Amino acid sequence: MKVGLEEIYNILPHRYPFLFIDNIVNLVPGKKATGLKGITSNEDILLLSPSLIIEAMAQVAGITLSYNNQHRAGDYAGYLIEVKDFSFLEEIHIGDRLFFDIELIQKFGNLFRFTGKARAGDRIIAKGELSIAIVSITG
Amino acid sequence: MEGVAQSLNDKVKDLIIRRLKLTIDPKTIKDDAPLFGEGLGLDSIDALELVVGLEQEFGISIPDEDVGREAFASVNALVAYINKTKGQA
Repeated sequence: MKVGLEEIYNILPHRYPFLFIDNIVNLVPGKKATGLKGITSNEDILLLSPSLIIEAMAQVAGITLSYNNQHRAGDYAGYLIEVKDFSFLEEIHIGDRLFFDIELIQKFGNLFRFTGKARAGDRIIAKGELSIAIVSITG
Repeated sequence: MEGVAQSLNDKVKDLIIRRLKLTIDPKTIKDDAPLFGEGLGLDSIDALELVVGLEQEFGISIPDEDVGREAFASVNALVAYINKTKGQA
């Protein structure tokens, strides 16, 4: 399934300039997803930093997990809790269509470990693993 | 053959130290000491890493937190859980 920006606004609390996903081009609820970010010439240079590439993957993972029936957006918040074995392999250029692929590799309790990959065309920009904790915010 | 074959207890301790990047001697991990809280003092993120490691290296699944609580009680408990699960396979 696809997820547009309006729906992303309903799921994530993040907003410009800290929302790094334009839309989700493919999503399997709770399992995997690919998010897209177009890099334009008026983009803040901060977007190119490695830590924010990981944040973008975490946002895609959060969107995926929000489609679990048990984890409806508004009742639960996702937190990036762990970053593991990341490599940053290529630079990002203006005009790139940056795809963020995440896929669940393990779940344990409220913790979810994903593989993450950022790619632009044939170039692998970054890859590694990240973990998200899902926490109830309704008390 | 004694000393050649690594016991399952030693393999589990090796997995714990390697996956969690602990800088301790495996011999200092007591077989019956708690892994979490007191004892080794591991936390929930460490638990997730061990769950991933057990799946990838032993083919053992820890499906939920209740099973995890039992299996991660100590090295002995984890070895018993591995033996039990392998026996059922």
